Amino acid sequence: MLSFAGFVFRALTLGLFVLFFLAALPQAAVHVAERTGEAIRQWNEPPAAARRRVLGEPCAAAIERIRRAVPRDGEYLLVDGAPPWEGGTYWVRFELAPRRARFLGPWSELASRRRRPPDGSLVVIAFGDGVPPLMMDRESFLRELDKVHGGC
Amino acid sequence: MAAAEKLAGFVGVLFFAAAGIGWLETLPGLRSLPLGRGLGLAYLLGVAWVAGSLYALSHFGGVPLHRSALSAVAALPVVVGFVARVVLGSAARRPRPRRRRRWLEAAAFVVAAAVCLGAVAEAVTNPLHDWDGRMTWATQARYVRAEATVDARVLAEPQWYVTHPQYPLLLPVAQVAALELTGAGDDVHAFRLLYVAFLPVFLLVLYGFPRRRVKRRTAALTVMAAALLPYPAFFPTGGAVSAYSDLPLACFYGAGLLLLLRVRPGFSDGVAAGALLAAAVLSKNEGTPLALAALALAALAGLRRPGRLRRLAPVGIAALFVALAIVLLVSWRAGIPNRYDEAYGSLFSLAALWPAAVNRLPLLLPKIRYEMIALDHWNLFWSVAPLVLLAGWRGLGRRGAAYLAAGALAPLAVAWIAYTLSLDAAQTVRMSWNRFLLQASIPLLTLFSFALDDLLRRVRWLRRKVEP
Repeated sequence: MLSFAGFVFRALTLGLFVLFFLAALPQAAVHVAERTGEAIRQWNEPPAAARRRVLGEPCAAAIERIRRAVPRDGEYLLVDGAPPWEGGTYWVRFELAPRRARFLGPWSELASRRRRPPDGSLVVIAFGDGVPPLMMDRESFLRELDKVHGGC
Repeated sequence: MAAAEKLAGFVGVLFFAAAGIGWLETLPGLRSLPLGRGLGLAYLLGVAWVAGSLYALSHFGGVPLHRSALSAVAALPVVVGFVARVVLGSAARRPRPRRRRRWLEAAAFVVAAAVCLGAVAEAVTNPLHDWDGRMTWATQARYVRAEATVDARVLAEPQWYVTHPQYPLLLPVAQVAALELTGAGDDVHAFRLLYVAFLPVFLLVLYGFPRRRVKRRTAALTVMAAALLPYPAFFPTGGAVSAYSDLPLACFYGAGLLLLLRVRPGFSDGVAAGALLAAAVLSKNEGTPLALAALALAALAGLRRPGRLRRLAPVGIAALFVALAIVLLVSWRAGIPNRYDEAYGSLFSLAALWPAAVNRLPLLLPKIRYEMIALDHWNLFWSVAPLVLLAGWRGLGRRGAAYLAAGALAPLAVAWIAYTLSLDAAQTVRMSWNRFLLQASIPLLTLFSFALDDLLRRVRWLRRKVEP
């Protein structure tokens, strides 16, 4: 009786293991086909064009403008213009690295604070993935903050 | 030109493999490994040696991370390996009886190769687009490369916005080496192949190391199953197509553990395991507790067998490497103020762990279960694997299985401690459980192969079909 139950259990287990292969093979085939097809279509695409394709032209262009304005060994002030779970500051910081970022905080908090941000020539406001970051000089940024503070 | 830039990434992979092959030639107990297993181990040793040496030279010696330094570091094992080959002669591989490749092994190879090809295609086509890769690992690599030092100003000065500045830098340094070698710009994404290469290594380790304990058909089925798991290959937050350090850590930790748990580990196993576990320490925060767990388990296994001194010697050698890696990590971190980090270390206390470790079970277990049964994470594997372990339970009585089980639990225990301390445990589970499971997957899948081997052995009608 127990021997028969063991046989049934082993057969069932192997059947489910085969089911796993039957489910996983098409899933893997789709992954492989999609990526291989894209690699073939884009085989001669330069890295810069790949970045523009993935980031979107507006975002890639905005990043390039900031890169030209801030030298590689330079620094900038960074503000988070989107909710933190969107990670906007991470993506912008990555694209601008090795330029050094000094984080001022979320725009929503800066707008409610009266403390002036530290000295720095350029301010970059980051948004979510695919949304072009904004670049402005410190004076323009302070004017925007003053507008929110009611000009006080 | 664009195609040449895409191929540049392969140069980096070959560069690390060549360094690893050089070291393998100097290890008598490992130089006669079969080609596949040898190549997998060579890549791991190569990354560990090149990136680990550059890390140490940069921090302790102030050596700039330029092409001259990395060429010298990589050339050393190649030269030493060549001399070893001349002096010792070609590795005398054990004579193997001529055998025909069975269809199951051929099918496993085809499936694994196709999956790896898909991951390679992704890496050479698209720039990095994952969360942690951009937030931490690849960004740190850009800082380190620009300043040509692991003690970069941007890490050491607290006013700069750097996420997880104290995260160990082995993989970023390897990325720097790969880019410096070819003179590629930061925007060239060919460095992603460095991470993708850990996928075939993962599969080679899974096939090669348990192969001595299970039948070829079982090893082939295990590798095929592992290759078909969506998470390790294609998942954007932790798989081979990302720049997360979890798959590299899984390989360093898993291979190091398997080397130390061999039936008769020797000097060569100790040296190789030590290098891999040292690389684990320098790859991620979790690497240190995992390396220590591997050493403890190997020591325990050695103590329980006859000839203790001889069995503990490889563990001692490995421990030396791990100790050096920990010294490097502690010294390097001492100069970096931590910020923008969860700082689990500062939250750790017995009061924080108990009773939260138990109270959070009802909240977190359903979320963990969801992560394991979601089809786009692991397909049906973790629904089927427990049944295979049950049905083939006699296989789990093999020598070393208990230590492998403990080795598999180590990353999951680290996970549980993190979830107990976390301020938002449910979110932390969602973001990290699969990655800890990946870190545990080499010992887990090795245990799976033991159970599967026993299960298949008991099904005579299937054996006749699989092995005519």
